[in-house]
Parts: sequence; structure tokens; C-alpha cells
Amino acid sequence: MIKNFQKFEGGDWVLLVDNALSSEELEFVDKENKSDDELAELKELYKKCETAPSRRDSVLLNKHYDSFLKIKNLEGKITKIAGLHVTLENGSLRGIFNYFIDEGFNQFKF
Amino acid sequence: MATIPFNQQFHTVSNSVDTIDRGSAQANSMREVYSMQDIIDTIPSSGVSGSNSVYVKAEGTAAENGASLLTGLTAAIAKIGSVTVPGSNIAMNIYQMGIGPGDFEGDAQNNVSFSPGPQYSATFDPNDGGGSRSVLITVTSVGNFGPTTFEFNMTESNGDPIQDIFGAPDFPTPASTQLTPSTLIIAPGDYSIASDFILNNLVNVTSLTGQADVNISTSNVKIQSGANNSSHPISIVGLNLTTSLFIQSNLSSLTFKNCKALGTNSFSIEPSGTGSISSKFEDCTGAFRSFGGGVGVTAAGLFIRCKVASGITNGGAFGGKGSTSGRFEYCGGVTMDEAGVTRIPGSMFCHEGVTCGGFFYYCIGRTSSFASNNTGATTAHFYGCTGGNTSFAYRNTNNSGKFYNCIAVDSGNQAFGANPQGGDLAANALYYNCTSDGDIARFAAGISSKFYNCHARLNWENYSAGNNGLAYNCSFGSFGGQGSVTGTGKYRNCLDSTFTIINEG
Repeated sequence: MIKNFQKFEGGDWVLLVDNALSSEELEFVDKENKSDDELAELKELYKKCETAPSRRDSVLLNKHYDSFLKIKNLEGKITKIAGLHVTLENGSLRGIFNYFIDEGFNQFKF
Repeated sequence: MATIPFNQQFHTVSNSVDTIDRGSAQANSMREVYSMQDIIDTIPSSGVSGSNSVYVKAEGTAAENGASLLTGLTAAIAKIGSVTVPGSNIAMNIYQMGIGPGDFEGDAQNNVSFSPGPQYSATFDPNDGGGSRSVLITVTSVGNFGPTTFEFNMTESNGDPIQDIFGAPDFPTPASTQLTPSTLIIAPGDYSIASDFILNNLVNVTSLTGQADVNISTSNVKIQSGANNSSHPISIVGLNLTTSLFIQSNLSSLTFKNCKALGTNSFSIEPSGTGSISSKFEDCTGAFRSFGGGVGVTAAGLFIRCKVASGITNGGAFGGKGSTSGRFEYCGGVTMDEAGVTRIPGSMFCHEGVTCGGFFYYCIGRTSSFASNNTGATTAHFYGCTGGNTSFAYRNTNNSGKFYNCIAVDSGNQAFGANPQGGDLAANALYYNCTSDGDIARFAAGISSKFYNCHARLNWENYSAGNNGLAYNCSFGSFGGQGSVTGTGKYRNCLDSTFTIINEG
């Protein structure tokens, strides 16, 4: 089983949900020239594509990120998370951490 | 396999002649009969095929070539090297406790080559006062924090977890199977594949020339997790698809170079799936919703000189309808000077996205690009990017991006934070040296964003600085239209439509 997680600056880890939107909802996503109200509706629709990870997965993801900070000696140095992206497949993690240290953009692949 | 000695001679006779027994016993004893296969086996492989590579030629029809390509992939998979390496003691930098009893993380002094596997027994001294003894170890993951790192569980021989490891004693590794990637080399030509080309193994795939001249049609190319290995990163080079090239989530060790795929959602997750595109892409060309575009997808990798093909007006690429967090250099459409107005794709770079993060360096999009209509947070840094109307955080709800030396061309309508939604009270974006052919921050009243040396040709209609917002050394355009500052907003050394210096707040 494959699970995809991600986290952005100021947010929590989320688990991405496959096939979250119906065909009608996808048609709406594709609609061009959305009004302000429709744009707000789109924002709500996107929330269906994410859910909270299990407690166990959250612990694993946080531990993974904390270990990354320790091993790479980055504790207290990252000024902004651009995006943390992790795939869990057959008990193995892979992904990428994108982050800023001041104005410098960095990528860590694993 | 019979091989023909170099000092043998050949005489040919008609195939109706019996050649088996036409001499004395002594002469017959020196006579050998060889088949054509023996000749093939004797002559070394010509060209580029080798012990761990396969060469596919385009000598037949497109369908025949396609069949050869799929067969070649199977042959290349069979040539992946596999060597069993016995366990050894390796030097370590550090051990750290994990989350469960007996769980640890290790960071070795050099890259490790073993893999997760079953429990094994080894002699180890954790420096806990118990001395050197037999322990049971299970390696659970390798490479999660880089190629020198691994995670494992360690117990006493009776199953009790080891409580701690002090210092950095050498780690006894398991026996492991070491793989060596093979390479599939493909000649230029047309390949119509009857079924998907699925790469789920450590096989480099490359065109013979390195250019995008392996023309694949009919079915898709799918790159899956078995092709991703941080110790043996592989490359996909020179594929040219009229169909789609789909990539599974977070294959961060792969590189795509000089590839072109004109099917929708190419260089992205297959539609209806989710995940992150974390590979490295160089000089690749996609189409609609490519390069990490699509709902539930994030463009998180490294994208260099990647483009959406000309003629597509709505690119939807680079995180369109999804998110971005990666690094994008010289990406987008072709250069502004090269094509007509409608030929450079718009709606790119997190258009109608969820979260727009990452780093954009000299990228080009057209209308509604660069976090335009982004529904979530915009946190990215944009350097030297060029967009069209309604670009650069148009209609955002939470814009804290940084925009350096960016330009809004065409008419430049409603660019640079125009029309913030819900007041965008969280906005604290920074704009440095940005220029619009039309307007800047239109209808952005009382916002906290800061503008330095920004210039609009026409106006900043209904813009006003508030809540510590600032416009410094900016020109408000030939029509102006800006409002007075509110609250703690400030204008400093700005120029209005009558060429009057404005200082307010």
C-alpha cells in the first residue's frame, strides 16, 4: 500500500487522498473563468483531497523530520518550509524536503 | 556455448552434400561441424550492446519496432547485475534512539550498500557495560536521511530490546544483494508500443543520440518505484512521446533529460492519483497539466529549462490545480520574443492551486500564471519571472510570497497581488523591482504587502497601503488611481500620475 504525505509552512502533515473528487467535481475544477464565489468553492473542494494521517503515521513523519534536522545539523536553521513530501510504501520512506535557510532554497532527497 | 577457434578454416559446399564422414578416422577426428548460432556466439557483440546493456534498433515498421522495444526492456531487466555481498563491520558517525524499544537510527561514515531485510544474528558491543555479545538485528530502512543512513531494530539474543548504544561502535551489516543497473539504449526511430512501457526496475533508458528522437506512440510510458534507488540513481533520456509519461509519487532519485511527452499529465502523477513529483527534469517538454500538474499533485522536484509545448494556450503545468514546492529554473514556455502572443502557455505555475511554495528563477508564463487564483498560501520566491495579465498572486487569499525583478507583460492587467480575496488579511508579500505593463495591486485596499521600486505603466487603481504595508520609491503609473494609506500603511518617495512625489503615513 502506498501512502503520500505532505506538509507546508505553517501547516500539519496531511495524507493525500486518491480519487477524492467525482467526475462532476473534476469538471468544476476544469471550469475556466471562475467567479470569486466559485474560487472559494474550489478551495473547499480541494480539502477533500487531503485528510489527517493516523497518529502512528504522524509520529513516524515527525520523527523522520526531526532526525533529518539532527543528522544534517539543521535544528533552528530552517527559516521556511517550502514543502515536505513523503511516500510510505512497504514500510519504506522516500521523498523530498524543500526548505529555505534565509533566502537560500535547499532540497534534500531521500 | 560453442566458440570457433581462430585457427580453423571454412569450406562451403551445397547443403545437399553430406559432410559428416568423408575422411579417414584421423581426418575426421580433426573435423568439427558448427552451426550459424555458433558463429553468432563466437563473434563478439557489435555496437553498444554489452553484458549489462541492450540495444534496440528501429529496423522495421513502427509496430515491429515497438514490439522490439518492449522485448528490449525485458532483456535489459534480465541484465541488471546482482551480487551477494557478505556482511561486514562498518565505521559509524552516530547512533540515535528510534521511536520503539530497540529501534535505532545509524549514520555511517560512508554510503551503505545493504538493504532492509530479515533479522540476522551478529556480534556487537553497544558499549552499555554488557560487553561484546550476540545480538539480533533487523534493518528496517536504508537511505531515509541520505545514503549513509539506515534504521534498525536490535535485541538481545533472548529478544529483549537493546536499551541504548553508546558512542559509535562499528555496525555489523547484513549480507546483502547489490544491484547494478543495466541500460536500454534505443536507436532513433518510430516505436508504436501495443502496451504500456512500464519501468519498475533499475534500468537506465536512453536514446542512442541523447536527443529526443525515440518516437513512442500508441501507449504510455510509466515510471514506477522499483526504478528509484538512491544508491543507484538512473536516468531516462531522449524519449519523445505523443502519449503520456506518468511518474509515481516521490521518485526523487530519477533524472529525466531531453524527454518530450505531449499527452496530458505527462511528467506527473497518472490522473486520479495523488503524490509529489520529486525527480530532476532537464530540458524536457510537456503539455497540458504536465510537470506536477493536476489535482492532488505537487511539483516538488528540480525542473531546469522545462517547457510546455508551443500552441497550448492553457498550460496548467508546474503545479496547476495542485501545489508547488520545488525549484524551477528557466521553465515555462518558449521565450517571449520567439512566439506570438497566443503561443506561450498561460495558467501555469500553481494556477488555481492549493499551496504555492518553492523557488522560481527566470520562468516564463502568460496569462494567469505564477500563483494566479491560488486558493491557499503563496509562500514561493520568484526571481526574474515574466507573466501576463492576472499573473503573480492575482486573487490570492494568503499571499506571503517574495517577488524580485518580475515583469507582467501583454497588458499587465491585474498583476502583482491584484484583487486579493477576503481582504487577504494574512498578506505580507514582498515585491522588489517589479514592473507591470498595466497595473499593480489593483483593488488591493489596505494591504500589508510591501513594494520597493515597483513601477506600473498605467495605474495602481484602488490600491492602498495599510497594516504596516509600504510602497517605497514606486511609480503609480500614468493614471495613478491609488488611494490614501490607511492605519499604519506608508508611501515613501513614490511618484503619482502628475509626477508629484508622494509621502503618506
